[in-house]
Amino acid sequence: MSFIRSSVARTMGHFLAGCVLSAFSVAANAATIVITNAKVATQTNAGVIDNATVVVNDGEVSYVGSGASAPSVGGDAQTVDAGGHWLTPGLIVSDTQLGAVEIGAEATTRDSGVEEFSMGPAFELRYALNPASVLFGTTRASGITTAVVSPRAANDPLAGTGLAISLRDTLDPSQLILSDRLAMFGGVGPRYADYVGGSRGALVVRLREALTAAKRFSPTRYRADDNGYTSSDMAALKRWLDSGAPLALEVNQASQILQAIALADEFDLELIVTGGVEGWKVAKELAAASVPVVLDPMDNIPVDFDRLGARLDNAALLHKAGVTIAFRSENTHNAGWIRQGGGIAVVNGLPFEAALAAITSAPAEIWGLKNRGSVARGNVADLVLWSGDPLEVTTHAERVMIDGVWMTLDNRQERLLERYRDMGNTVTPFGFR
Amino acid sequence: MLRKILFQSLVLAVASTAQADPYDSTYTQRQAPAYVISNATILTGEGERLDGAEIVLAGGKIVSLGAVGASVVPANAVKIDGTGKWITPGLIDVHSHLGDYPAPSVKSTADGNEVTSPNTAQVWAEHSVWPQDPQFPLALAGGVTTLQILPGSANLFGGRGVTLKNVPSRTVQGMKFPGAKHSLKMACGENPKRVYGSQGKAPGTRMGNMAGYRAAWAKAREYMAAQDLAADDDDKKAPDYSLQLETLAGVLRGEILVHNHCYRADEMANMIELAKEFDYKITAFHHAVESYKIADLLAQENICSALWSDWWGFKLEAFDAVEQNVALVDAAGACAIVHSDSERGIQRLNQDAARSMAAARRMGREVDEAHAITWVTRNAAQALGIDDRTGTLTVDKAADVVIWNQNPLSVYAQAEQVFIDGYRYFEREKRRPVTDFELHQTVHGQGTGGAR
Repeated sequence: MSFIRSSVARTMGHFLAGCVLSAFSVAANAATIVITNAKVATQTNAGVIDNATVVVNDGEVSYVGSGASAPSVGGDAQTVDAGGHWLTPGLIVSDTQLGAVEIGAEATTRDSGVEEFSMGPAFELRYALNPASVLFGTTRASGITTAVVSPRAANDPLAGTGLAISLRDTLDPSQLILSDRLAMFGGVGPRYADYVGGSRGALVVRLREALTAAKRFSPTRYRADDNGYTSSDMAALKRWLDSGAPLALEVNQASQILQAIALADEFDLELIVTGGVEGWKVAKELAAASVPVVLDPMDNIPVDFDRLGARLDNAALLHKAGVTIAFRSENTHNAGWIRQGGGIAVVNGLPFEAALAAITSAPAEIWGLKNRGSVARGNVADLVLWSGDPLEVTTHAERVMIDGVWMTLDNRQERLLERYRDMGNTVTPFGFR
Repeated sequence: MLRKILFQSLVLAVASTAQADPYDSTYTQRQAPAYVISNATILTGEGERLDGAEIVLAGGKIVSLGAVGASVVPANAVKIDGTGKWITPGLIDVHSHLGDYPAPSVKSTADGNEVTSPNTAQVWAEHSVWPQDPQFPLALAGGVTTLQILPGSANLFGGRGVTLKNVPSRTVQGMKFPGAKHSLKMACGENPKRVYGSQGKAPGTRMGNMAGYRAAWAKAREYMAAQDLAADDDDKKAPDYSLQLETLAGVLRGEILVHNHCYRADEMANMIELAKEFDYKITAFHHAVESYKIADLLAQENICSALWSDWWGFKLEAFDAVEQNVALVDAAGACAIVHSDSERGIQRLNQDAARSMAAARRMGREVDEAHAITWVTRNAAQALGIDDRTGTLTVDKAADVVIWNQNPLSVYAQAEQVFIDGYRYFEREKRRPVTDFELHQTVHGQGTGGAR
């Protein structure tokens, strides 16, 4: 937890924010499952263990280690021979809109942020979460078991609070949520500056003003025109400040990253940088301030004047400087591209272990997701068995376990494939396949 | 031998600089030494794999291909040890907007979509191309040697597309693939009806889309008939010259290839009927997320599908994606192409092809690397009508060649050297074109060598 600075109160707050809703019981996980002959990426100090055995009990990992030292289990335990394949923690994707967007261009299915109404910090994604989204099936099949769902601001530099969710197979949104107020999300790029008149100068002033006012906010004495925020926005800001949950800011330009670090320091906030395209230029400063970066390793295009320094070895350079990194995908629907991003980061100098960490243990650490992101005794049994190297584009998840239960990998795309794969079938009409 | 090669290059240079028409290509093949690359694994782009093989490039052409030592190597040829390396034809992207939507992507550079009328068949994508787009060298680093730049998809008829060589040039004419046909970009579905319907103009529905195409083709047919009549009969007056109708008539005459943005199976079927009604050929459906639903029809009509491996869900017409789209089209015997339509995707077309190869295997269809690479080489060249000159490693074809550090159907593959017409435009860590825009930006000069 290298990025968490020394404030005990803040750490405790983070812990509480991360665990609000995680203590619920899962019905179907009582069985014992033994996975033998696996190449386990533990994402702990134990590193990668070949020919390993993992024992899962009551939804938790009860043993990970050599097959020879594995405890004996009862005869009713299910045994799965991994055939020497990679077994990793379930992947954790950072910064998606999973469950809040069904179809990108279809506004009626897009609930990831307000678009024609003024609401900033008070926006809460938990009310928008749709567990029936077909994306859960396809995303699970890609080996992702946990997602950070972040709001997308349409008209405010602060977009509201985001969630951490498990990709459990349930229709009850409350059962998906691991943390309902994971962090306050926002940004300080050019898009965000537009919301406050078009200049980054106004943006930082605006954020400081809001944070200062929120500290001493009282609903009875607050007038909305004090700084443009509604009373509910201010209440949300105060609640978040009191919780100690982090501030996740979308920021790409090196100079603006430094501004964000200074702002976080001034208000004693735990900062997470998302985007971070020019992070490599200020890697030392990020490391010194223990600020982690959530990035897409494929971001190498100078998309705008904030990102002229985009380059493929951003991840490698940040890691080398001691910055904790996690990966995100360009598209929520293709969240599984974080594996490809990992492979690309490796080709460009990031150690393989660090790339795997950036989609497992590092996001667990960054977002305060306890007992996830690594294969260790007592951890939640979210596991993926891969057909080969988990960062390779030609491999796939063969089995996915969440809370100690093997998930079905069936999904809408598989059904479409089954329906149309046999053009030679003239007997059964397509609509009946 | 060398003298002969030099002479050939000179003739080529002279031939390609002799301008016949305005806007013609001024591309000239650069002088380059001969190269011999030995002991490599070669994927020919014809579906073959040669292990421990040798390829010789000279005078801008592939002059031999086969077993090591079997070919006559020109004196002074530069020898490259291909041990452990893989060689493929230069990759071809049939769907790109580089130069038209360059980086940085700001209002003043957004030149890819003439969103002012549902029929802008008169505009030419090449007239928007900014040759200094820093995304061109990024695509080169991904092994892309040829790319088609298309207008955007807001309109029923977006305008003419152009095929470019991925070479640094001060002008777009200097990038144009000599002799390559123009294309016509057409678009089905959501985009045209949304853009114009929301302004209260036609088309506002999919049936409005169809009516818009039919009216335009009917007019083009009349225009062409009047031109033909005037050509045969001095008493008949030619119709007033129309830039828009010249493009459409060019399609009806078979001089311009139709590249049709279309996602849904039922809409593709409608477009096939439209092409029959007005007697033109659809070369390729682009994006074609639902091609797998009509793979038999596409095979029968001999229409290519330019596809992504797995990009989906950004709009309703892209909702029915399957990762086996390429595999199913391919299995039906139809022409399958992996394309990008993305400044990110174009840098790793080989990885998208790899993903589609893996998806094919998952459904039980054996597809090897030699076959999968055809989706981003030969088949793409066919759809651009340039397969007689590039797209496969064949003697006498252009020396458009990529040397990969390993099997290119992998996330860990990197293009190490890229040749276009035998000239080495890219050498990883050593040499790559730097656009004007990138000069004195603080990308390079820090860190590990400055490759984006």
